[in-house]
Amino acid sequence: MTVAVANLLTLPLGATPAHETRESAEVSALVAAAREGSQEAFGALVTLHQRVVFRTALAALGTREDAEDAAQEAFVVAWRKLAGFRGEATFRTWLLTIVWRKALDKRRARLIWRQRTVDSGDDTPLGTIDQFAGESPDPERAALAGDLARRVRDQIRQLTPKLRDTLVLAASGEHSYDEIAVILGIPLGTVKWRVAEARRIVGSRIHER
Amino acid sequence: MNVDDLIDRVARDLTAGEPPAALSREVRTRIAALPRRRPWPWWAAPAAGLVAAAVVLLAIALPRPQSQPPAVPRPANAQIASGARTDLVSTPLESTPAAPARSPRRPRRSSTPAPNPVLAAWQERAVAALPGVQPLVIDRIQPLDLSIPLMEVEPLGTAPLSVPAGSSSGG
Repeated sequence: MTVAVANLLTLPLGATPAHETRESAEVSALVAAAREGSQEAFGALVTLHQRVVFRTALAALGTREDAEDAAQEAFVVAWRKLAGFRGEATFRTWLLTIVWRKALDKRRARLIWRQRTVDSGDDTPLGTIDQFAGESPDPERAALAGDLARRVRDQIRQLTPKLRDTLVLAASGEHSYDEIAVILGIPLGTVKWRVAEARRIVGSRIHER
Repeated sequence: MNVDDLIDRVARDLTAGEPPAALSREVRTRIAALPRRRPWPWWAAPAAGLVAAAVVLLAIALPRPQSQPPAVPRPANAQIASGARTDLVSTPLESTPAAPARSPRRPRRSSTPAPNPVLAAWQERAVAALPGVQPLVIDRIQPLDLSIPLMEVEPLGTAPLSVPAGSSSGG
């Protein structure tokens, strides 16, 4: 586990420093230039936000290919609608709201498509799970830990979409609870409740087995 | 590690990963392929508002077309018979008591009155008055002095009344 990831893991959920409530001077200047038609300025905004946009889409879609498509479409839509950005929220939050809607649209389309075809199966990488299993020097305990992590992942996937989305967004380390509330369009208290409820359900189901 | 930490780590793993290196380049390419658009200038909205206001004011100031036909002028004989006018041609405004209705709330924007559409339509269809027609002069109609010959009536002549003498045999 890298140091950066380890530091990220020590932060409580929803308390990441990535989200700021105020627009930085750099972003404000780039947004102003992009609104004047500067593609270079908007390209810089893309570079600044591509990671959080991609991960947000990944939280909703689960696959890198779909997340990349949703991220691209979100950036294009943001470019087209930049004149309508009034600065009521930060550019980042506005952009994440767009990508979340795009991701949900793609998820609905994919759900319809999967209902008509055969499910392609599990394609999620097992990096953390394998990593979690590899932390134990005992091979037997490592196998048990890996199995436990897979069960947790399966239980997370079996959550309702509302609970799963909120939990994954909060656990991604990219968003504060306030930002999640804006992205999902729900009150802050509902975000907190959903995260706690998701943890409770997953934990109880693991203990049942 | 407790269960919550494990849940958080697994949930975080679902969004782990860096975006593709080509993402930014792809987005720039797609944006560059879009048709260029110029952002609206700051004065576009006020200008659009002024134009809209001007259109509304113009629509209010212009007279509305009348749907009802203009009134038929009264025949000249009627005027002659009444003795009030000697003109042979009358105008609808003079002959009709009700002029085109005008809203009392409508403000008058210009000092010169707008042309009356009813009058204009009537003038287009009306036959021009004949020039040189003198007003009709009618002599006074008054009877002459009466010249009735006197009638002579002879006095009635009556014969004296004679009453025969009555007889006393029947009584």
